[in-house]
Amino acid sequence: MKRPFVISFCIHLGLILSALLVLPAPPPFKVAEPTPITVDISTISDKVQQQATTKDDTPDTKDNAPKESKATPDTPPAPKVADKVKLAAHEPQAVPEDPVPPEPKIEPPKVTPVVPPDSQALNQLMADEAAKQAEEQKKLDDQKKADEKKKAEEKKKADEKKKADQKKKLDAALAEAQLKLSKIAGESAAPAKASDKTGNPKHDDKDAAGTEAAATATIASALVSKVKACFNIPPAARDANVSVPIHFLLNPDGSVQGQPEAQTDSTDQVIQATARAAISAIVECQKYDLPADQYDLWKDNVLDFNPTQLSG
Amino acid sequence: MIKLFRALLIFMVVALSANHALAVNGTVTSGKIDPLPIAITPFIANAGSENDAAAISGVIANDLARSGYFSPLAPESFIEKITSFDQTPNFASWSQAKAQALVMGNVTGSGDKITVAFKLYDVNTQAFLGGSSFTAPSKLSRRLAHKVADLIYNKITGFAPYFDTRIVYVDETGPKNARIKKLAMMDQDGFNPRILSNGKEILLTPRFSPTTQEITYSAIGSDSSRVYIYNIDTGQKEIVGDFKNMSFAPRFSPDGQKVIMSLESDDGRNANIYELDLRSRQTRQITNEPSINTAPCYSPDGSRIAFESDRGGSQQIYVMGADGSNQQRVSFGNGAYSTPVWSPDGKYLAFTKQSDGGFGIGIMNVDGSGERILTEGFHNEGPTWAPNSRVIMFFRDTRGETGGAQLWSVDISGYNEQQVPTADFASDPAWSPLLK
Repeated sequence: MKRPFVISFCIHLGLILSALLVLPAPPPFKVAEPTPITVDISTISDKVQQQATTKDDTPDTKDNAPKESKATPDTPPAPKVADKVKLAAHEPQAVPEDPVPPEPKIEPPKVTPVVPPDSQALNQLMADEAAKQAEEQKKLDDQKKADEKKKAEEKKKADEKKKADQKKKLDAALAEAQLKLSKIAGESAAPAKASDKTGNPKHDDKDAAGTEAAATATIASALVSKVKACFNIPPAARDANVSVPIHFLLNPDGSVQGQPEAQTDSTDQVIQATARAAISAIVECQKYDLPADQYDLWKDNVLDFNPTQLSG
Repeated sequence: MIKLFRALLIFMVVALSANHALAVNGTVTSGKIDPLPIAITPFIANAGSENDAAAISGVIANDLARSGYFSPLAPESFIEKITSFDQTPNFASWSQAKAQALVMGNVTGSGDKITVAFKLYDVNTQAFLGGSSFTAPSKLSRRLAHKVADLIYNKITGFAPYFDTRIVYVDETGPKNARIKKLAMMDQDGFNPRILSNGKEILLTPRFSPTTQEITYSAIGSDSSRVYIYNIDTGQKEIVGDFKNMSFAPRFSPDGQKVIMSLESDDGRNANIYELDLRSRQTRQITNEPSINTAPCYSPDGSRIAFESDRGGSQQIYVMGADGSNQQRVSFGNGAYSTPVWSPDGKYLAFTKQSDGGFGIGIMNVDGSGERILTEGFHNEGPTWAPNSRVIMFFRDTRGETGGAQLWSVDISGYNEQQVPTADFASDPAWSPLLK
């Protein structure tokens, strides 16, 4: 009577143990899914920081990013640079990485429940049960005792082996996940961790804005450099402090689209003469040789004509 | 959380498209200061007006070139021939001819009247910049040309015009030690000279009235120096005031209702500044100093007077209220300063400066700061302002028995010094206001 009971008990115990070992496993994978996305944030920032100007290399420059764009005289004003922040999210490489949740979720804690602690307790319980059974078996035949003990030990070894395999699998999965994350993250550096710690997604935008600002500043500088060679400063503007913004569109081939427009309602003769000379210069100097892959940045432009220097 | 980030992404995309219009912002702070290459095409003329048309094109080109801000292209370089005033120019050909601006014109003579019409284009943008039509008696065809040049000058440079103006001056003939000095007048470019006096008196310092066709000047007759007013239209002249002592260095007030001048003291050692109301004939003494105070000139608003005085030991420039209050010296450089002339825009005083380098013409701010010598040499004197406050005319004496005074102009930047052609020697120029 007792023997079937013991066998049944052992089988059930084995089933329970294996269930306990196997069933908790899925949750950690579900939790781990968002994790790689999270790490991608730092990836963007790292890439941006590598491309951006030196000031962005330090975490502190986040707030200074727009100011940096003012480093060159022809750089767009801060608000415009700030607008460029939004462009960063629009870039193809950034798209898959943007929906990333904050990093805390990446941390192992959610993986840990799956790992050893619970199974160790079960092992202990199992050991206790085995001990009780052993005592009972003692009262039975020594041979039978030895057999049972041997079986129990074998099962225990098998369970432990299963457990070890499972643990090994989990470790391997985790290692693989970490490896993937590392690959995605590329050569992630300290600044990325700093941004992760803050959990502030704006950091990436600002870094991207830094790149935008730098590109925009370079384009503005190129435009100004070419236009000023054609700009014959009206005599009256040489002494007066006039500022005449001219808005103009460029075609992808660098030619001027339509007629540039002066953004002023002033009827002042000096401003009118300056506007005429400025528009004439913009048209005369076409075509503009600008990077085709950045056409979005230079198809729509405003140059402010403020001739405070007579030549340059 | 993911939803939140998706919403943020959508917001960014929308914001991006909204802000996309101003991708590049730059500031152009420098450029060229070259004279503008301009093509002044031969004006189309109806039968009988060909000579007038050719002359008008020439006057316009000459005015613009003399300003220093334009470089009229030689007609031989023109590729396209304009045969009709309504013709649309082939801008590519004008661009090829290196023109940046293009002028087309039409001259129509009818009886004793002449009509001049013109169009101004920007060659690069093919934009029509302006145009107009003027009609006047045929004998004033040169004035019409000056008016066309004024509009072009104003449109391109941004400065107020000054070509349609006259110069009154002292025409000098005869040997150096016995010059005959006559009152004369001409267009600002030296054309149409007219002698207005017979040469029996020695004429000095003629000045235009700002409001009427009158000139005031001082003349040394057989006994003394007197101030006169001369009416250009009638040729009549009259003595200003009834002073027993010598009067000289007259100038009109900005409203043309008063003449300010110097009167010699009884002992003949000093001179002070007086104002005469031309309507009431009342005289008012403005300075009362034991020194020579002369060459008075009102500010454009009439509230102040600049003058020269040797009260400090050497000739210097002073500024005071129109009532003589608050007299303050404003010239402090090395040398003697004289003949201050207030610019029509009120910003500067032009002056003559005598120093080791000879006589120079300069300008300074009305508080005496920012002194700038525009030209210097053996003898330069008598500055007068163009009505747009950009150009100063003066006279320059040359050494030797055969030397004499000639008229010159210079931009207040100190560039573009040009001699004004006169038939005889000429001195003491005074620029008229813009003619109406």
